[in-house]
Amino acid sequence: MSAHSQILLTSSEGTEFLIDRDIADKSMLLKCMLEDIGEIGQAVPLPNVSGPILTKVIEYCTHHRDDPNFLSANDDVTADIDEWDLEYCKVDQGTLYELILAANYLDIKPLMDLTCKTVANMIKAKSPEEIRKTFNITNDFTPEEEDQVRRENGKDWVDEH
Amino acid sequence: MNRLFKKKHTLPLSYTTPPPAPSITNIPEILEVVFSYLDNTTLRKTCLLVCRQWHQLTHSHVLREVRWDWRWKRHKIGSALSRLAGAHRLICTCISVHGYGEVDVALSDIMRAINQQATDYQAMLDKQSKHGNQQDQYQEQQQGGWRLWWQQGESSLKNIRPLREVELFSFRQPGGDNLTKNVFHFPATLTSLKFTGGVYSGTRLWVDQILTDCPLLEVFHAGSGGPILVNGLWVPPNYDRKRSLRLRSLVLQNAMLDQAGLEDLLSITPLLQELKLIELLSTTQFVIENLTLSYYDWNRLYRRLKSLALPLRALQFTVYAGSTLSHTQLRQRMIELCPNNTSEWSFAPADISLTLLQELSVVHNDITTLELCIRKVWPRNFSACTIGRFSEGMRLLHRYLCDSPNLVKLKCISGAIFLDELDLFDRAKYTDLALGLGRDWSHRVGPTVRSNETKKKVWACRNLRSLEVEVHSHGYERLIWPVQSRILFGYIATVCPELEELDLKLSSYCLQDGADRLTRQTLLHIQLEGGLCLLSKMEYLRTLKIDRGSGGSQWLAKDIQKFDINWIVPSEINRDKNRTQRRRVVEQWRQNLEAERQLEVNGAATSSPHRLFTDRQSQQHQSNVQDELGLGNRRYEELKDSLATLGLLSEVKRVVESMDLPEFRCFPSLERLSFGGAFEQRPVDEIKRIFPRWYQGG
Repeated sequence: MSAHSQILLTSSEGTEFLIDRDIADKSMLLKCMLEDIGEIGQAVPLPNVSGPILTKVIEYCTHHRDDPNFLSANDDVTADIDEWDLEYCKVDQGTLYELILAANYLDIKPLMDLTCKTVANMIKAKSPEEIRKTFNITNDFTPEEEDQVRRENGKDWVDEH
Repeated sequence: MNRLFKKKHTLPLSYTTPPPAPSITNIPEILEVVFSYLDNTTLRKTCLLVCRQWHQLTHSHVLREVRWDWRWKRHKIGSALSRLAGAHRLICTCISVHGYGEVDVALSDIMRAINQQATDYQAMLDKQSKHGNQQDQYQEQQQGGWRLWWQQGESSLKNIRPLREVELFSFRQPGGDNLTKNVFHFPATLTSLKFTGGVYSGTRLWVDQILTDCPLLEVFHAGSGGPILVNGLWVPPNYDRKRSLRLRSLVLQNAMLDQAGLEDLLSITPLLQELKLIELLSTTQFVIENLTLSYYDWNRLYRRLKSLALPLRALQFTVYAGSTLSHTQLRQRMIELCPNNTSEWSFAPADISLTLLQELSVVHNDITTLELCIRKVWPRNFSACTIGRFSEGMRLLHRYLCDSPNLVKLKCISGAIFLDELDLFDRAKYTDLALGLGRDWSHRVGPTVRSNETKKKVWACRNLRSLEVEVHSHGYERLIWPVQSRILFGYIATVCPELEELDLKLSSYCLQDGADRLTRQTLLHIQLEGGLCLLSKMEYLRTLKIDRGSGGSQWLAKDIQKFDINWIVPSEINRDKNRTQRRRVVEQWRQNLEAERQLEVNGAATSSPHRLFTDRQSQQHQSNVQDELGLGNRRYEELKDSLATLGLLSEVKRVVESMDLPEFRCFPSLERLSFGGAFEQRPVDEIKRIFPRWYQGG
């Protein structure tokens, strides 16, 4: 199998994407699939990924194609997101969510970590109410329950004497 | 990191129209990954409160710890321990001034609480197993059982967690001198057990008992100032050697141990990543009784470790009475034994040499964590300078910090720095400004022209997250004046703005200039004039510990006024009374400020950067100054405006005055504070500890 061969992918709408094999290998799903069954000479259907999202995913994998630390790129939970990745994630929430699902489906760990870290950053420094508003979540606590959770956890639990 | 669904590596058979993407917040597996990127405080204070689903997902992940410090409220140990049921970690300290008796009483209470918690946890597990399997519970939840459980409020069950980590500071190990072996047992749920800090002299460890009690133990650390005796076997008798222990980190300091027993243990710890044997003792003649002398054979241990091929990432081996091998040989072998390690290094200060630092810079330029294990002084001499004989290594370390721009992820350094390295503009001589210009400033230290060798540089590690360091001032300006505190605080706040944890220690004594044995006391200024407020702009600082040197914390309340530190508490900063007091203090600085201004104008400071940078006389002049200081690079360009005022009282005045402004943000992320050795606690509690009557109209 040639290292420079190309793979044809088909998005959920049927749009075809021709990509280099090394780009496809960034996805553990595609890598293992191609290793297991070989290149079958026909398009690989990706029914769970739309065309625009697949374009974004390919853009990410292409940018990081020569990154030697690709698999461990976002392992450090405290590390800052690099500049290009930061720009890459400046998308609307719907796109971000679809990217997470695509990264999960295609098993691209660094992209999964990056997108989840971006969502985590959207949570940081927000109040519960702001988080609900951001993610359109309904507060289904009763007032008593909310009060109890707040009492148990809202204060500085560690030093409460 | 939890990975998500299992991937099916099969070719999908047909195209289907994908369903609309669900919200991420509805997919628990993805939320779990997102939560893994959040800190404990965010999980605890916000995520738990968003909705039921988030509560369910985060409840079990929130880490809770119980801390109790003898110096906080010693009579309230009971109420602290009553919260143990929901805790993941217990950290206690007991510095006793009245002998062993009260230490043992406190320890009995703590161990009783720990064991009660373990019993309750086991009872909960038993009860759960009786009430059916997980599927039943799931169905129950689907049918509204969760709400029922909630409303029933079985708080005695829902808050019980397995205790995973125990750290005892300044306690005697159960089984010690007055306590018979097997009186106390640690719970089987523990994964980490540490005896740290001033462990009492002659404390005995029964490692086999601890490992029998705690088969899940991954971290075991013991030792500090007092010598420890490791008694008996290391591997529990009747232990099934086909089973491995989970131990990943074993650290013993100032311990007298049987090397053969340790080597035996290593054969059943295939996961061991950290092995630190720091300042092993050969004899116990200074302690309670004389035992057989222990001999340590590094070559034998080396061969043993080599044959076991453990996944070591950190290794230390030092013997109190010295070693037959040179430090260089030891270090080379340690590096050889940790081939997988490229990012975390641990050394003894004596290891620090030019060759080592070159090796670290050139070969291992991705270091994130650098730790120096400094030997604790023992037999204890309270007037000794702990860093004295390592001065040269510490200065090389400073150079390393300055010359390694790749060291952006340096996470922790436990070592020492010298004030003169931070005093970029030689302002440490502005000691007694109150004497004005009438005093003779010319004899003060600080060269007016620097040679290439003495050019001062700025640390390159701008992304430092955690810094634990001692500050010394050997043969330089005596570290007791406000200006030196201003230099220290100002330097750190400017050069390391990303810090999340800062632990500054002042050694109680520093070596005198030109004298090997004579020492002199040091003191960090916590008063407004000392510039603690310069740290307040640090946006991410969560923990601040300051051990201020020979003054100790017990005298802090006598040395400072409430307004010197109460601005740290947000609700206090804008109180009229506090504002007035701060203004009054700043007003009293007028003479000192004038003296400082004159000194700057007259160029008393080397290269007078303040005058040059603030007056902006010429670009050429600025660049000359940078070159002279060895700072003419991009790093300094970014910092020059902030560093130009390093050490100046006028800068402190500016910050203190800005406290009155509504937009002033003071320690926006600070969660823990400690002045002087006690465990860090909420800032308001730490200030209450210093001024107990503060909230009572005091």
